[in-house]
Amino acid sequence: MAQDVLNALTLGSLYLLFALGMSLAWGTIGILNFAHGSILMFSAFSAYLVVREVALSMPVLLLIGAAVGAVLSLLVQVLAFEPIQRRAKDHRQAELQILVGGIGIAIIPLAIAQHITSSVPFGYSGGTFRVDTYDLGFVRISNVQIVTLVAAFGLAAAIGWWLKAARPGLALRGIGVDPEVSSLMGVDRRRLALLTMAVAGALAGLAGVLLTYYLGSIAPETGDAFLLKAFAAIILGGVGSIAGVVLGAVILAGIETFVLVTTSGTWAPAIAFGVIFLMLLVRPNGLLGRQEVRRT
Amino acid sequence: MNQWYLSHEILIQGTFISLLLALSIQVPLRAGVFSFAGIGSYAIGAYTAAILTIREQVAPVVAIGAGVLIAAAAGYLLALLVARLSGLYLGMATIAFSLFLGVLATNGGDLTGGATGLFGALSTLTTAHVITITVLVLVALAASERGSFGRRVDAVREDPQLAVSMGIDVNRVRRRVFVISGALGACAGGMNTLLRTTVSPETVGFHLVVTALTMIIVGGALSWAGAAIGAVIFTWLPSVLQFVGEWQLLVYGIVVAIAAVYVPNGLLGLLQEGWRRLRRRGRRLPAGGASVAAAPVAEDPEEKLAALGGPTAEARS
Amino acid sequence: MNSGSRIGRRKALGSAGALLLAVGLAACSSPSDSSSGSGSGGSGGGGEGLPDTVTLMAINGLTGPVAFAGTNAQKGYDLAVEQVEADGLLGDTTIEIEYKDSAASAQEAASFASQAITDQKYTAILGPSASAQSTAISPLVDQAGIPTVYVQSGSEGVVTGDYTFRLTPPAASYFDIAGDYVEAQGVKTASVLFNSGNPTLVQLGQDSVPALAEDHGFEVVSTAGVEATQQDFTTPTSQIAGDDPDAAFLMVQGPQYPVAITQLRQAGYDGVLVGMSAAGAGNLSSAGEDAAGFVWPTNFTADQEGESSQAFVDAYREKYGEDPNNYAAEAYDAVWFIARGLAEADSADRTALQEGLAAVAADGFSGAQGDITFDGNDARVPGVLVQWDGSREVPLSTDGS
Repeated sequence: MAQDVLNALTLGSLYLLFALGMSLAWGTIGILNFAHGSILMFSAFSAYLVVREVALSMPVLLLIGAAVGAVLSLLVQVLAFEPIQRRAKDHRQAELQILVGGIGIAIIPLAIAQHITSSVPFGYSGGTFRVDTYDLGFVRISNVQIVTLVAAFGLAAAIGWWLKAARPGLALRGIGVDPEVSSLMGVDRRRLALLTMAVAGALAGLAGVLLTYYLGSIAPETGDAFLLKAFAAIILGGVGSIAGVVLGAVILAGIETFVLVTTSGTWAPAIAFGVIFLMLLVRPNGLLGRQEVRRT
Repeated sequence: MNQWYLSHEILIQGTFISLLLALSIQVPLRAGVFSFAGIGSYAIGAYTAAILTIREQVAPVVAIGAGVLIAAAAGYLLALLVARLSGLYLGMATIAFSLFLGVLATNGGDLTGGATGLFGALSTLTTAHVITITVLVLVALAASERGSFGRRVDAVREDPQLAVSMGIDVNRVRRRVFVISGALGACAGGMNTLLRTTVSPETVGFHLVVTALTMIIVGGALSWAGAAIGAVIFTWLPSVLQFVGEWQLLVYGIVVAIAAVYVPNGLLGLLQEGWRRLRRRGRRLPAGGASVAAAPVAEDPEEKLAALGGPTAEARS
Repeated sequence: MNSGSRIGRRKALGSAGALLLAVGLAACSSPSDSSSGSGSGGSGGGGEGLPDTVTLMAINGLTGPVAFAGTNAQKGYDLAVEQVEADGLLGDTTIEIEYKDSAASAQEAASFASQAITDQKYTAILGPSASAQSTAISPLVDQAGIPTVYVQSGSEGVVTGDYTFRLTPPAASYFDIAGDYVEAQGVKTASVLFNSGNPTLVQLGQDSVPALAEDHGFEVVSTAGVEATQQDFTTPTSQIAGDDPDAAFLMVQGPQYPVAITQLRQAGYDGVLVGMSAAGAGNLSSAGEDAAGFVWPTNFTADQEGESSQAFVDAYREKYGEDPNNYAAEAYDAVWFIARGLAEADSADRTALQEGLAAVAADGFSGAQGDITFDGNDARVPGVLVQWDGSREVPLSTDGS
């Protein structure tokens, strides 16, 4: 039982790592980036290309992943999403174009990684980090599991604090509530949007490297598999609320773990879809989302 | 010519089926409803047709018709359920609905064939039937884009509040587009299953959302003609891209991304823009415009583009 | 022209083949020997002779998620074409393969098949690896009467008529070779983990393992399904570790193997681990030492015994500088199968080739996968048990030595 709870928390922290960056960009500057999974995968893949040549430690790989993720995310913002927002005739049109643009962009890193790896999974066995498992009697936990848990909830707390207390965070939340008014208040939306996308990309990169460490290896298609789960977590918790994402990720992972433990598991894929659908019907703003932040 | 037709018959069929699928997303979009329920309807139509054909050996018209009716009814119920949602939220709710059906099919036991799916759905459906049905649908949709119904739909999209104050029952229009979307999606799914004789959970998955959406966005979202352009391009693009060999997927992604970013009104928008310029200049340069209007499904290019220019161009300016 | 001399040669080969047949097909080893053995029977007459070039269309996913199978198959095809030419089985006739990339699209695959059907230039089709693509092609080619030889495509509904053949034996058909191994390991209880989105893996997990349990005296204590694209196996693996059975059967997709095995070991499970052929082809490299001891039955491994297999492996290493995997081996056998059918038919006519292929299938032949027999049009091989030693896969005798 204790093991199941720990497992659910670990799975939840993986969803959380993935969803944090997505949620940040969506809840503040209104960009639902479908290339997020692809950026995550490609950051982890870049770190793999480096570690294949030089044996590096985990912190260095995390840095590489975060840097690659931030750069990719900025590129996407400058080359695709900014032009879309500049030219679109209204908000809804922009939303749709960003969605499709993201889907198209996501294919590009995927195609490159698939081509280089032939879709064979890659991992960081060339690095210096080694997995150790500790048996505490009532649960077994590995060092990489601890790192993942600490990183996921720590990053969520840091982002939450940043949005609440730091000046750029405050301005961002302002944009999330009312873009026009915050512009009038002297908020430089373009700079803030770039900053947000860079942070979201860096989060994706960190998540990608941590995910690869935790799972041992990932394949180029891994990023996409997490996309809908992260989405479910965000919807469940409420767009624009970091605490909501944490809650959403943990609850989704909890339900999935429960179903896996108690049934033969063939219905497990339906859970994320069911959660999205039911939550939107019953409480479209999520568990912790607020009415005014809701963007349609 | 005949040789060419026979060897490309599958792609020709595929073009029309993709067009119907794309329309099942485009019709709601025209009313400002961002719904992917058409993809779920495709799954409903595909499985209904396969089950009825394999188990009951019914005629294709019955097999497809049953799927269309079921999906239309499902569309109506779904419209009632998601009445409060709009925008991306509605899109995600309907994606969840559609993908859930795929899981249902995987767990459907003997009825749906589980992960293997169903095969051996042999029928008498021909390409001519597919084309006839699609053309009938197109005529009906083209008619619906004009006249008072077309204007009502445009009003619902552009300004729902204003539409209400003008006495338009917005919810009724929304319910209607859900029903039409369901019927179109199921029709596409049923026809595809009977032509390919097989259906499996992996053929009704998320990739259909991507395919249909890219067709509409690249072609042009506000008219059936945009969906037609998109369907032609994305059905034939892979064969055209054979020459880039191993980088085919990469080129595909770049094409979609560029189209979404830099051609916001789709190729149809570009064509309309070009056509308008040509007409303005046309008095000075006669007979120069034929090549520009080379829209793939054109009957009379001038009349068609002029007709399309109606609802879309005016609404935008 | 050369047809006269070739017929003469065929007759000579035929008599040699009759001798060989008397000794027994198992004695046939190198491809050329066995081909003369099976391509005999005096049915050489009746055909109008072979043209200078026989063109085949190979439809496969060369890009996208199944590209790995497709590109390796391509290498196997190319090698076999070279060898057939050098061998002289078809006289001066050469085989030419045109590659079409169907990526991940069943519609694309079906479209290429219909192009091959209408263009009389193509004698036969080398079918795709993905079941979803193959099931869309089979009804077309059976109706139009163009021989189609598949690799992989383990689903039902692929080998449906006289014109569809499959050179990859279904994983379930040789899975019983794992039975002796687990019995020798003293296994009394086992858990099963399978991918619920893939027909082959569902069949293995829900039917083959329980059947194996009955035959080899162990009990399946738990069975769990995971998603088609499952990434994290923490929960299912700690379930298994909690049950602590003597053996765990993992029926998942290639890229899922290193993760599932690593997490199972981290969860503290140290029993016997058995998988299926998708674990091969380098998928375990990223798990490294964690996966050492992992065992799976496969239709081909580079170090398997048998002269025809080793002849293939040597030629492959020489041409490509790497070890062949099962995808390349199956594809290699597919081309040799067609070449033998052509020799048997002595004609590039599609109907004649179908009859030729059926005759070859009735006799079976020795190829990269060892001694290949056919159940109808569907290949069967003895299979080989392999073990991951931490860095590569090595053959294992069934008692585990």
